[in-house]
Amino acid sequence: MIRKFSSPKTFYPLAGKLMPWFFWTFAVLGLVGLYWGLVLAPVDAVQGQSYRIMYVHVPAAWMSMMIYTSMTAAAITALVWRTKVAEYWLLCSPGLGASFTFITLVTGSLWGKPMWGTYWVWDARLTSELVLLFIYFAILAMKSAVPDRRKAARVMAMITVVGFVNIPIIKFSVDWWTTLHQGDSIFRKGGPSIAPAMLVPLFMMALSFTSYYFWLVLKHIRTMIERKPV
Amino acid sequence: MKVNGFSFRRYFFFCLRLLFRQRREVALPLFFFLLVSSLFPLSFANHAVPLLAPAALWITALLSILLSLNNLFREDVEDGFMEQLMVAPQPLGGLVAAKMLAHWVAYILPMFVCLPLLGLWYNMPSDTLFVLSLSLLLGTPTLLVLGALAAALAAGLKQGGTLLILITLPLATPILLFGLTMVDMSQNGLSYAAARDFLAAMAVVSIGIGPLVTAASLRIGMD
Amino acid sequence: MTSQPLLTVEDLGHSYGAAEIFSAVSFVLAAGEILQVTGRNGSGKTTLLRLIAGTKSHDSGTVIWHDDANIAVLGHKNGIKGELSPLENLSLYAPDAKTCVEALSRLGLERAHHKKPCYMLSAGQQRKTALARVLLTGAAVWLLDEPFTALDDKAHETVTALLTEHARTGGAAVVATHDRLDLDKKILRELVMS
Repeated sequence: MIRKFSSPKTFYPLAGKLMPWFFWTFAVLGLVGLYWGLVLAPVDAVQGQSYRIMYVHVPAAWMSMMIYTSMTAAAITALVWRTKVAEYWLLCSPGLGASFTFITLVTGSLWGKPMWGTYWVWDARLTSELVLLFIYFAILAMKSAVPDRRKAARVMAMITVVGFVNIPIIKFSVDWWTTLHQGDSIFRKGGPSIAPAMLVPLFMMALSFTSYYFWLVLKHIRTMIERKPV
Repeated sequence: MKVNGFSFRRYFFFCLRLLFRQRREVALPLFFFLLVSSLFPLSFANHAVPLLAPAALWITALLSILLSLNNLFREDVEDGFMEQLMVAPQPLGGLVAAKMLAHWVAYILPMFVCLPLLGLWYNMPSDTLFVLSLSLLLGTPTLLVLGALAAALAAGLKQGGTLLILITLPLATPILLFGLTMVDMSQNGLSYAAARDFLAAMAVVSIGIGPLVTAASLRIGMD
Repeated sequence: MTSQPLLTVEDLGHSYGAAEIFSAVSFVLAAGEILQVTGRNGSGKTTLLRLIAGTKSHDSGTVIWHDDANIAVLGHKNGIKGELSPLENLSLYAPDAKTCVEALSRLGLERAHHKKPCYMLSAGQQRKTALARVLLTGAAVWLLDEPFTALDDKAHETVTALLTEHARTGGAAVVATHDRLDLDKKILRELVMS
């Protein structure tokens, strides 16, 4: 089953069929979600207008983790079955993952300034996002260091899997360490519930970003398959 | 048919003998450790030294261990010895374990011998020094495994040393923080048992599966 | 002489990226046979040996080892430690010094050199040490990549004699070399890489 789906011969036309769907989901939901979120959604009672950066920040943060999870799945597939498509998936994902992580950190800092009065705190969430960015960088560094593509993919796969096991431990350790030092957490646990009028565009943006990722990955994989005849 | 080959024990002593012959190079990361450790108390204001000492020592130890790992597999790859390990009848994981143990003895054990001296430099109370040493002792197996894994993947690459540091440092964050949590808690008169147990658990897991994962990484890195 | 196959290679191929090095290499190696692999530079002799040894993974074809025969590998690089003497290097493969001395002497490495660090030895003497290791492993199949590099005529003859003896005692070998192998026609087979 996995073999059949993941053989480049099957994957190529399938990806070709799926790509327009992802592209239009990305484009339409992105435009509607942005307009809704930035213009139509009500002003937040506490945070005023500045909360609107959430419509980029939260989906980007979601993407940073979703991409890593998809990479881990691809990594295991590549290591166990040596599937070409999984290797391609792994090769073209970390760049996108790093970009989304970077966007998350930048928008988070910009949001942090009006909210906490500072661009950066060594909070568990921010720190683990930063470490995630470093892990992406490490994977990218290996990608560029290994000349052979297939070998590069398997080297990246190994780091990805080890990183995946490590990420919750990193989060936990930073959480513990910072609570020792900062008394109370900056983020309120639970937090106020968000009005549905604010939530719907958020989901739209998340779906749009996800589609954007899948569209790009499929596009890259197709290019890779074209470059090397199967 | 008689099967010759290297047992864990024989290879372990082989590694130790080789490291002893290379003792001048083996001593370099230790000098690095001492040198950088002396810079911190020198450059901090006096009142900041006790506050920053554990973190300074931990980070220095972390960096010098990574420095030492640069040579864990590189030389074996360059002189063709790695190929011999890979075709040996013994499982590669066991041989890697022997190599890592020898590495620990040659590079990391001497750091512990130097710790009392550093405790003096930093005016560290003896119980803090004890907890710090314990945290390092429990943290080094996991550090060694993470570094070995990266070294295996980077084996034979030109920029191997830098890549090794780049890969290991983010992954080593929890070890550093658990270790510092231990020291911090003991300094504040709290029980550090939980952090200690975490480090110990990670050490056990690392020792258990580390050599196997490193062996698998070596096969990928050598491919 | 018909004996059981030790190694079957079927339709083996390898490429670096998009560049194909070789494809469809097939042969069967039986006990008592020496397979000489020849071919121009870059035809993939070293790669073939690494694929057979399993130190490199192949992307097409199969390599089957029958009744897990032990293998001894001699690559371009000797795989010996410069800081250690020949005897210390070999101590890994045989516990007693006597066996090691014997193996080194058979390769023609004079006793005076047995205890010197290997970095003080000449390239040929280091090659002899590495060849002695092949003997000591007691492996059924030898995979030798250019074994005659840096060897003098006498050592060249010794290695040829050792190959003959190895084949006669039920062993087998794959030897990649440009040199003519002066072996009995009955045991020598040839594979030309193109």
